[in-house]
Amino acid sequence: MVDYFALRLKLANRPPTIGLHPDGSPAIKSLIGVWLISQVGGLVGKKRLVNLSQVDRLLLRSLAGVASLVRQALTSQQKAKRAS
Amino acid sequence: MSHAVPPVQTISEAWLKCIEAVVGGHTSGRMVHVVSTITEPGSEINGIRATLDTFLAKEGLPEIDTVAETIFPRSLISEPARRWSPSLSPIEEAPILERERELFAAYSDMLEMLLSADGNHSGTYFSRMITWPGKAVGGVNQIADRISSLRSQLRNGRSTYNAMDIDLAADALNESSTTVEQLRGLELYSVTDRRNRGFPCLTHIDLTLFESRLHMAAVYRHQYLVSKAYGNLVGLSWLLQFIADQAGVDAGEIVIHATMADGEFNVLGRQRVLTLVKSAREELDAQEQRTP
Repeated sequence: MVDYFALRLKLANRPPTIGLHPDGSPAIKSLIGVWLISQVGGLVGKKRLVNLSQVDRLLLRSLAGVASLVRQALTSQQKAKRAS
Repeated sequence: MSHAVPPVQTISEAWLKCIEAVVGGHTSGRMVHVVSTITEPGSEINGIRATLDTFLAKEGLPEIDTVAETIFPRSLISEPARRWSPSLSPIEEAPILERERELFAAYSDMLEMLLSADGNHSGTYFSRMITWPGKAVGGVNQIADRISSLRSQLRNGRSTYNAMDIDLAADALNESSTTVEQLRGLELYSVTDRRNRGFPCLTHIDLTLFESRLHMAAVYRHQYLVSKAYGNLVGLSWLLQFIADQAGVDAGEIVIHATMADGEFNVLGRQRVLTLVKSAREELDAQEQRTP
């Protein structure tokens, strides 16, 4: 998913990533993190894929952090679907 | 009593001289009606920015760029862009219009999620600017409207006069009540808001085109001088530059009127704020010594 996000940024002609995050993946501005999540949200038909008030903001500062938030949100969504 | 900080070139000097005036003269660390002017918006002194960013990180507060992006989300615009001009062909104009459209679309895509963040339930500054009143996609796009008004003025000026007459088109803006109405500022504050404090601290942005330069005035009803003011100035500079580029005019000066300027003694502690200001002053003095 990190590679997908990197490609998505490149295709959208967004500013490049800003060095390397301590987690080893490319560092990004938090707003770019939110934008990437919104792109996945658009694909799965859920604009508010992540509730930002319940998110550790530091996770939005790297592609790996954003990927983990998205995975978590998609898993929760699938569980909720199965339960309903 | 009101206080006018002498106009300065950079964001860094404007911030420092404003906070010095406020925390230096008042034991409360607050002052009413403080007016600051930046003559070259966007320009900064690196040492002062670094000093403040280090302080903000230590205090667990958002860094300067994060605050700036609440006013103008620069991360979402593609770079570089050519400046709009009435003489561009439709093919040449297309990528400039696309840059604007992409910015608004990207932010609109994110809006519902952004509103889920703490403190954003009433909208964000940028959402109020591009989809007034800011809580849902489809509202009035004040920025697009202002850019469009500016473009049509330049187009009209060009069609009636020669290149020298663009200034007359600018004068015409002030003389035509219809155009002034179209070019009124960016509204960020709802008249039904009866709170004494809280979002939005920035209530109004005024834009004035004069002699082909676009000038900005911003009114803050409560400006937090340590945690927010510097980032606010950066964000306003980005916003002004974007509108100016998209409309084909030069960026002029920014004036900020803080009806309440707050040195944040009560939250951060007087001594810590004074130490920060002293460190920033040392950076400015060092800079001035380097560039006589």
